Amino acid sequence: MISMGRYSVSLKAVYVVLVIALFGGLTIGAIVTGGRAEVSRVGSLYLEKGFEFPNIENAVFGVYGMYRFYDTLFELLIFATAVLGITIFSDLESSLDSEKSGLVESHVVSASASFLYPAIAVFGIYLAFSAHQGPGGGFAGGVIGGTGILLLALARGAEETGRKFREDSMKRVEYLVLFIALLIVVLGAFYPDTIYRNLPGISVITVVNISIGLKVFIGTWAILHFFVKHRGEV
Amino acid sequence: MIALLLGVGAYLSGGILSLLFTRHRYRFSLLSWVGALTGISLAVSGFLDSGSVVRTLGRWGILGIEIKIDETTLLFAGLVVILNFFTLIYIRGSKKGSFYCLYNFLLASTFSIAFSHDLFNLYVTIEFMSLVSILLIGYERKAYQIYAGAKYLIISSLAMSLYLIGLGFVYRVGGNLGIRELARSLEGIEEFSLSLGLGLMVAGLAVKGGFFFLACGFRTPTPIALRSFRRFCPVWQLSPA
Amino acid sequence: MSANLIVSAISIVIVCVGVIGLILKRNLLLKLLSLNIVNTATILFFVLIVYKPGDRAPIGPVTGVQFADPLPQALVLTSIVINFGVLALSLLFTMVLVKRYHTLDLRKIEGFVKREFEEEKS
Repeated sequence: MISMGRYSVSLKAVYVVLVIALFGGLTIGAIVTGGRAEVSRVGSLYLEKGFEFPNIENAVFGVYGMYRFYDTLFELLIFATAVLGITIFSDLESSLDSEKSGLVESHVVSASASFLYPAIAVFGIYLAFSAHQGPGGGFAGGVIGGTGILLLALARGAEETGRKFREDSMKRVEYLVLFIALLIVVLGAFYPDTIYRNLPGISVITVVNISIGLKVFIGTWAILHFFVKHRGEV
Repeated sequence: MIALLLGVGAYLSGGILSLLFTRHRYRFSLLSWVGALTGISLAVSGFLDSGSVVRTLGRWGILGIEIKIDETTLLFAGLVVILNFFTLIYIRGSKKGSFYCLYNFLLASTFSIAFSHDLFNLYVTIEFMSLVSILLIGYERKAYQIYAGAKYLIISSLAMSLYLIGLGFVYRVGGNLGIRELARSLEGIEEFSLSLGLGLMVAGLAVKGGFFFLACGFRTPTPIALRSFRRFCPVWQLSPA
Repeated sequence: MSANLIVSAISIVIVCVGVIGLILKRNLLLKLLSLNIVNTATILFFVLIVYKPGDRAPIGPVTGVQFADPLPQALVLTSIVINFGVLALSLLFTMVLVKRYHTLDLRKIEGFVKREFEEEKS
């Protein structure tokens, strides 16, 4: 232990700070002195080609919804695995008695949640549907919807809200969405142009938006519901 | 391309279906093995015809995700399919539905890593593989298994953040994410930020592979996780380090 | 030196702070918090490193305007969701450990776990 006056610090801490300061210094040096090669970057190509599709005005949607949808499929799978992990552990005994819980839900929260929640839900749905025309996307829309329901759960009681959103049907919808995403990956690998331009009667872009939004909404609600049920236990 | 999609699609659908319909979980896992075997035989026959190729998933050209069919990739993918077969014989329907789901997801992610030739796709599939294997490590819910799972989760998340920082530097210099296009555009460029970026990526993957120079205060040795893994999959007879 | 380079440098400083916290803190929850800081700062770095001063958001088929690169933004969306999943699972594991051993100190939990592992092996 190195001690200077009142403070003492272990030698290990000094080593760690020095090594990480070295890493930080090298990286900042690389940021400041590094340059960019004059190569036509793939991003400008995404901007050009993305705007050629009829409905798409958000180039970022083009990247994650069309060209690199395989990565989005794996991201949805990671989210589904996290939710699956939570459901595997969901039979942990909760030491929280819901009648005598330490948190008192006040009337202010309850009343304001009742009229705030529809606005939050509509905003989340709007963001999920309009991913290809402005900033937003299924991820943001789903998280907003999920936290809106969390607000409702905190106001009215987590068990009552959990009963209303039935877990079985939500699980089935979640896995149906994964199948749809897998189908779009497979179809998009063989007929990339046609399915994103004009299919009669169905718009793949809307399907992608809704499926990502639903999936993230259900997953966020499942995770947050679990942690609200077991609150106060860490 | 057909091989990758067939293999990954078979494993993923087998996993999801064995979670939804738990009575037929073993049959779904067997069917997904058959699907992956078909996929890899198609890949091998295509490779014998035309040699090693680099394709883009979805035929988007430079804008898509690159995959490569090569001797190395076919070797690893074939290894996944063979080990899957022997493990299925050993398990023989004795686990719950969620175990089969996680098992098939693990196989899908390793199958996808074998064929991937794109830096960010590698990041996403490696994260998926580590998340699923950590859930499998902690499946029996003994305390030391949960502890090992938490340790690996935290350390591997830090490692992949290092990888992402390195990827940022490489993308800034190179302009592409697919390895073939990146190699073409980086010919003859010598820059400190490029070397640092590549070094950070390698460091991240090294920490991921077990070279724990950033142990983050977790000190118990590796055998805990290996022991629970051995119980499930005795084909992987790794001796405790 | 343009503003985005300065903020990228600051984000690397935040990464370093997070890594120091992850290594030196003994409380499990503080380790998770530091991990979250590292992940968020990495994402900030990744978005800023390819920004050119004067870029606009890549929305709308307008010509003659300098747009930002859409690829890192899409990659970062994926990364945020992955970090959320990892954080949820690590919090779950922490909760199971704390329910069992009633402490958040990592050294004590390690001692208990080692003892249990030795007992079961013998």
